Amino acid sequence: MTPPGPWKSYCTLVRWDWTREMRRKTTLLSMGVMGLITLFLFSFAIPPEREVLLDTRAGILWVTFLFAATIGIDRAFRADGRSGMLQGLLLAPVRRATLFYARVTSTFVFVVGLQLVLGVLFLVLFNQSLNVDGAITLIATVIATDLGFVTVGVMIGAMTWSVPGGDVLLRILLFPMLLPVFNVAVASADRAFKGQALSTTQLLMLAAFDLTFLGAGHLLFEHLVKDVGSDV
Amino acid sequence: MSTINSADRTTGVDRTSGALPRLGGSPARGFGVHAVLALAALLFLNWLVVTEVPLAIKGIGSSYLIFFYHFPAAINVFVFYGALMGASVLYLKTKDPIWDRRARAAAEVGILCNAVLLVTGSTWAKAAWNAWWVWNDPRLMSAAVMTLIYIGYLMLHGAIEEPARRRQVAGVYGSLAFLNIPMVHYSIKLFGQASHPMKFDALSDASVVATRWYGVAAFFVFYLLIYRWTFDRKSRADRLEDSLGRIRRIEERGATS
Amino acid sequence: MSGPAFRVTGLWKRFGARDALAGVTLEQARGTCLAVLGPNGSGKTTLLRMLSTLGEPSEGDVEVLGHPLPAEAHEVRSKIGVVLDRHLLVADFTLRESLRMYADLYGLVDATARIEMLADLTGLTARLRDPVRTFSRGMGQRAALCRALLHQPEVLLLDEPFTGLDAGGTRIVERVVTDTRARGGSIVVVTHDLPRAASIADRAVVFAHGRVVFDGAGEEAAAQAAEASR
Repeated sequence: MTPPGPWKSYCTLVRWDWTREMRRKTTLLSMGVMGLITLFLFSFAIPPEREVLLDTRAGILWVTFLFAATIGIDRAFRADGRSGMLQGLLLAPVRRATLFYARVTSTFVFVVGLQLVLGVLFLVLFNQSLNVDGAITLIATVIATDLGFVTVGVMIGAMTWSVPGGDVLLRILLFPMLLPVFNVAVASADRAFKGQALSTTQLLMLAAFDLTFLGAGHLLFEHLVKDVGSDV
Repeated sequence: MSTINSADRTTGVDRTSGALPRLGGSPARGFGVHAVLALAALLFLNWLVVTEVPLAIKGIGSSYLIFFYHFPAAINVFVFYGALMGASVLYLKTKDPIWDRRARAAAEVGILCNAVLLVTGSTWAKAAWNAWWVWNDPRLMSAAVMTLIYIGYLMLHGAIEEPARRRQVAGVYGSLAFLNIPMVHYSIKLFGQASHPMKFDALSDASVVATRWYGVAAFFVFYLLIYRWTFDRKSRADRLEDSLGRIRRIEERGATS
Repeated sequence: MSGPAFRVTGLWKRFGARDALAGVTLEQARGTCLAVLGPNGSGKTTLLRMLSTLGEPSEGDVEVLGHPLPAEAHEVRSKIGVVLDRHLLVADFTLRESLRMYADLYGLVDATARIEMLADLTGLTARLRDPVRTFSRGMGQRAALCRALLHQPEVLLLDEPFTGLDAGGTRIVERVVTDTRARGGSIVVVTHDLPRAASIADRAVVFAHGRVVFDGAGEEAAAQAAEASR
């Protein structure tokens, strides 16, 4: 019997990951509720007046995204590692890089979905609007940012899932690492709210981050899943 | 350092005979000479700063003198974080625990340089701009974020129980962290307003430039001394841990048979 | 195809200061069943993890079906079936979905028929539509056996396969071992259940403190293992 090629394994993994997440809705739900709570907290922390929001809206949106999406990133590996599911996948004839790309893809889909929902909630609750240019800018920013976010998140998730208290450690490691994309994402979202088109420099910056860490993940991910389970 | 090298592959123990390694031992060769050299180099730097550099330069005042301690820290931060990445990659390639110890020692010295950088920078900022901290300056912010990233490295290293996995994971993180430095810097530079002075006409004076680079070299010798000391300490700690485990095993075996 | 099912030479595995394996050299002929016995912490499971490509040796060589590990781990993975202490299935899926997922990953063509057949063999036909999360220990063990057998592996690696199984379950394991051997496959059983190991294995090795202390026929090994764990 010949095992399937990388592309076929990749599709299989993404498809089953998707089925599983739809079955177990708790993660999606916690991400959504966490996002909503953060939005409400911001409405108390920062006076939601028109002039104040002009300066703070992009930041509010991204901090909310970050807190909510990190829950999903954290769950992705912790649940699989603890249940032994990860070992099952490691035993299957699947290349480690394929596992990495599949996990990045399925997490990416969920995080982008979450952000679209939170984005709409934000526009409604904070009484903001976007024109066409702005919407395109925002969506492009979300896609480019989330790719980098998820890539680094999957790597750090694979580092910390087996550690006691690893959920806190994950955030401590992840947030500073994400600073470059966070910084650009906020600036780009600000342009979006002002109805401006995408800035090429900002998009290039995000793309550079995404590609660097996708490449690093391709090379380094296998080191993170070696000897898994022997320390648990 | 040669004594550590030779015994390291088996963490200092002859496995087949189960013999215990020698503990303690002498510090790495030439350590005392190195220490004296580093001290002398730093003293000479002080003397240079006092005698060779004009005390007050038009418009800046004397506070800029801290620059000769600030700039070497900035250069050495990159030297040691770079060494950390190099050692991490070599660990992943060779699986030799010595590279992990080197990476950890480099991380600690890197964080020390980083702290010196932030403290001297902050002091200077207070004197020059009348504020301890400025949030939108790219260099200040990059330095602060770098500290957070590398404190993360030490935290990760401390959090994982199993030694082989710990080294492995830290190796990957150490590589990722360094890749991120240019991006942290450029992303902040894109939006920040640089209030950080990068060029002073007054500082392009030949004797000042010479003093500045001499400072970098002198501090490198000093930080290298700290690095060797840290590395030595880590090697001993690892060997001690190994020996304790071994003694425990021998006792267990004695109890069961 | 010739050559041994697996061969390990001078194998060391260290966890910090602890040596889980301390210089093991061992070889198993194809088409045989090897029982690995020994007290807890003697290195049996560590050896199994090494053979299953999950663990990497600190020193020494591992070769499964002629493929050196970890260099050719990918080739080995499609030829081995592994039962570990957990069933490794997806808790939120039904048994059928779980097995289906693994069948896709192994590239099985006649997955549905194969799953029905294995469910029948392990007596799980009635549970195929139940979520794996609802399974008891014994049921999980049977399900794990299904997963390991999906792709008709040439080498079957079983870690404590009898744990949690009733008499019926034990007979299933025995049958699986017989069937596998009949089609030329090899089995490694790691266990401390001496009588059962003696009844199914051609050969047994006893581990103590990460070393092989006895190597021989099943019954003698049982006596030796009893000695070692005393």
